[in-house]
Amino acid sequence: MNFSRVKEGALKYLGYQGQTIDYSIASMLDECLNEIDKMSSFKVVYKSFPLDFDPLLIKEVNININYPDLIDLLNNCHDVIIIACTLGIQVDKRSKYYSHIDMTKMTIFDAIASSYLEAKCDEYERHHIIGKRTFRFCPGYGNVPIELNRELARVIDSHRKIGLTVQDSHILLPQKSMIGLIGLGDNNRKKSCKNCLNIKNCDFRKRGQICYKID
Amino acid sequence: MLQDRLNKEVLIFDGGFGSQLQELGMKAGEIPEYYNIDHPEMIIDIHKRYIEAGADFITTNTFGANPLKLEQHKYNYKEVILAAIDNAKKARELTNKNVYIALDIGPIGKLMEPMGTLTFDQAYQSVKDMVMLVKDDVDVVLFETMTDIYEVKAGVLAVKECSNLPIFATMTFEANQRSLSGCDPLTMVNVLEGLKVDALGMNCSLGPKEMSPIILSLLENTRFPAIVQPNAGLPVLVDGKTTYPMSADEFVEEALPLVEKGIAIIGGCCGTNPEFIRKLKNNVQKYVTKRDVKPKTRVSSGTTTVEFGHHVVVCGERLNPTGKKKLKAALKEERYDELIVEAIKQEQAGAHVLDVNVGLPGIDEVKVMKHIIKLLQEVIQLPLQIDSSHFQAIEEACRYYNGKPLINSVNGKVETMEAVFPTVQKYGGVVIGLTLDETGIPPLAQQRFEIAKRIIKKASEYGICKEDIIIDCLVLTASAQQKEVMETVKAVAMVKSLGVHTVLGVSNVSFGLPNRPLLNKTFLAMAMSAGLDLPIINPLDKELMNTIDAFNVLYNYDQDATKYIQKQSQAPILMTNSTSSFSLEDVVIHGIKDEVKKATEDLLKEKEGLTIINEILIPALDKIGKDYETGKIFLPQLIQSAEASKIAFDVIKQTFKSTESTKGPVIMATVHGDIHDIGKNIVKVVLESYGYKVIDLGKDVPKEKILDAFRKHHPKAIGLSALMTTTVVSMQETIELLKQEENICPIFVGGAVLSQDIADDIHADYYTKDAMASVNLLNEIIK
Repeated sequence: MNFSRVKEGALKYLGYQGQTIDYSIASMLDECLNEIDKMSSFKVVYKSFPLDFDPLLIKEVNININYPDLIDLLNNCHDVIIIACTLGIQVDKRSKYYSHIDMTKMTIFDAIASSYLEAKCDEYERHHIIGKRTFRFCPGYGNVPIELNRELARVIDSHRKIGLTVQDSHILLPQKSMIGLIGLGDNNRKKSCKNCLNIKNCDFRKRGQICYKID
Repeated sequence: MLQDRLNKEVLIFDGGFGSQLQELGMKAGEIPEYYNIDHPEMIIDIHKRYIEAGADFITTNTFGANPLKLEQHKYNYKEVILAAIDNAKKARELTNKNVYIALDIGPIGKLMEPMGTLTFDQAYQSVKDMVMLVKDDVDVVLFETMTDIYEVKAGVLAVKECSNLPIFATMTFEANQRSLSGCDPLTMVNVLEGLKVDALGMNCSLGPKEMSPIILSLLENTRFPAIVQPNAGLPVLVDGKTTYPMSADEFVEEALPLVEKGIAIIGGCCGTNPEFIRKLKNNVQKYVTKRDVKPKTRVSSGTTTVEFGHHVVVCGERLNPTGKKKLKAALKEERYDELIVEAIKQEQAGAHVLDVNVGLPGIDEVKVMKHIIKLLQEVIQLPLQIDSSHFQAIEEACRYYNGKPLINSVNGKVETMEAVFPTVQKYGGVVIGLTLDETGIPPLAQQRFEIAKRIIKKASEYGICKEDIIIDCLVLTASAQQKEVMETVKAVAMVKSLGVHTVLGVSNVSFGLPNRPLLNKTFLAMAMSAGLDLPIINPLDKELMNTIDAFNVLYNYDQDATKYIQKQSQAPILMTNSTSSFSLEDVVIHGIKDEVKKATEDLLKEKEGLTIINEILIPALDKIGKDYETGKIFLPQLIQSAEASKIAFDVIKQTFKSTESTKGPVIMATVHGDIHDIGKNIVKVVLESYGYKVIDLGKDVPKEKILDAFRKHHPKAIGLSALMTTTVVSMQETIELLKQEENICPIFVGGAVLSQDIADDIHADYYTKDAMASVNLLNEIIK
């Protein structure tokens, strides 16, 4: 686990752009990272399915994913992986705890947790998913509706396997969780901002940053 | 009769169902429960094969057939459950064997409050609907693969309140001995014994080998019949497919030693099949190994259990408004956040249990107690002590409490015992009995001892054992009733001979005398020597806590003085009294929270509060705000300064006679359906740093509640937050409702997906992109 990369990611979520980080914030970043590393229980479940095109479908489980972003992402792929992971509910509880006594720490804790989840998921992907693959794409971004999460969660039984639930409002709980799609196949697509809902309003872009990293 | 065989004969459950259906061709994402209707022959066949293998119980194919999970699907839960029962009955008829049918109930699939949005009542209703449908057709209800003890509690109560069916409940634990919600096996045992299920245990997740340490500790701790359904080994994810590595022989080899230790009911879970059950049946002992488990006094939250008898148990007394002006005001003004902070401080100071009392004139105790308990249990891991003289408040609190609570209290009056004992019996709890009766507090130890005996006897009539009773011999003040102080100490020793634990509210002893801490700690030491187990004290009082630490060593509780050495060897932090070297302005700008109180107090000696606010705090905040907007500082630094400034405001406010300095109030809420409240909390702290009074309604707030709050508090503005596109709809509905109100105040909205366009679309008055923008807006519109 590359801790400095987790911190880097967290700082980006916090809107950091080179300001001086004083001692108290620097040590809070470390404390939060160590705490999350100890207390979180990263769990993951995934399953791979063959793809059908025109329209884009995961036929085996009867899910229509014919959205421009996914058509673009999964072009040239033969299979798609549905993957879900979570840091567990204890992280949510701890975050709530800090919100009562130390909002600064809570904000940092939350950013570290998000970045930690990303890093854990990347690490898992690197070790377990062999071969050419696309980046992870999560419903709710671009033109892929967040409503898709419910179907995907059901197919991989995420509640039973890793305790990841989808609420009525399509929010994932525990909060530090992710459901995504990864295409298997030779596809040179890179992440881009072009279909992002937030493109006109994006603080990252205003700062000359992007919210994701390109491998 | 099942009850006659339970815990005498080893009974066999069936094995995996889903894995059997997968072998028969069920695909990922298919709903297994639909097979009851679409392929009844398959279901009947699986049941039949388990019966023929020797199972005493078959489990209906209804794991996920709850009304909430199946609400938007092809078949509704009723059709599915009725078909499932039909299939189980048919299998039983076809094999002509008199097996028991267990109604299978798995987790609902949504996270419960307070971390999630599923309410206790919804979980309760879901189970009740299922059970009502088929209660005459099944022999037992099986809750299995549960991860949240709170959901199990709702379910158990639902079954008990609508049927007489026996209940078996199993939870699933990870190798770290915790369920996904954080519950440990001891907590499960304590809560389920309190609720009086018929068998309890664990299933799924692990194989028999990995389960073994958890099961052994379960068997050591529960007096109830134990049920176990392991997987066929630890699941392995290969190419995204879950596989189970154990053969039937390996499974049986690992499982039998567990049965030898005292398991009463055994079956299989994922990856097991009829062959596993056959081999189990053929090789397992006929009768249950007897265990001798002594009842223990234990209280629990949803994740943590405190067992008496291993150390002095400290109950924190500070969540009680009696004699506490600040807490009274907070309760009356619904600033519950202050209670939570107080609870956290006590937890950090080393309390084991926290007393919660909200009894104040003009407060709806039933409603407020229930609400506070929910808020506390969201962040506090400790068990709580429900403290009320309002019987309905106790009952309601016990029902909605997550865990097995301490209940404070009954006394020797028949009326209180008859009112409270049914609640203790029904929900499980450890109840405090005060040694007073219709004639008041008797002066002599012997008389209090007699009342204690009466309480214990009366409790036994309700099936409450003495381990679930803690006796309070009542502390009198040395200044008024000096003679009787020793009677209390004597009574403690006498009551201990009855085999119960004891509790005292220690600091009562010193009322009206100088140097109260000295009397308190001396009395505490005397009482502990006499047998006091549960002192109710202020855990922030270091002298008292040190006395307890020392006692735990001298009494041989703290073996090798490990904890004592660890605590006492920590270098004490020296609090300097010198004036802070930073100016208040610097302290706020740099967000040095530890220094701000002192700096403000020092400055108050020279300047008026209002002058400090106008000449120092506001300019400092404006500088911070500008620095944030221009990118000189980033978010954590902004919040740090806001928090420091908020502390300064609080110190200054105390010097004011009226509320002249506060602006607002402003109501803030995260809308219904959304549980993300970080953004809202950041806006809140920054507004407060500017002196605004913020009424925070929390997250997932129904629109009606926001309207009620508007009518009650007459705010100057309402801020609504939503993080997701899907909850913007809920924001729109809230605004629609609010706008029908006459004289509604301005409504401003914010959140990750919001923009000016969306704000316009949903008819919000203002959109603010971040916390600073909210401050700027309110400064402009609130005059």
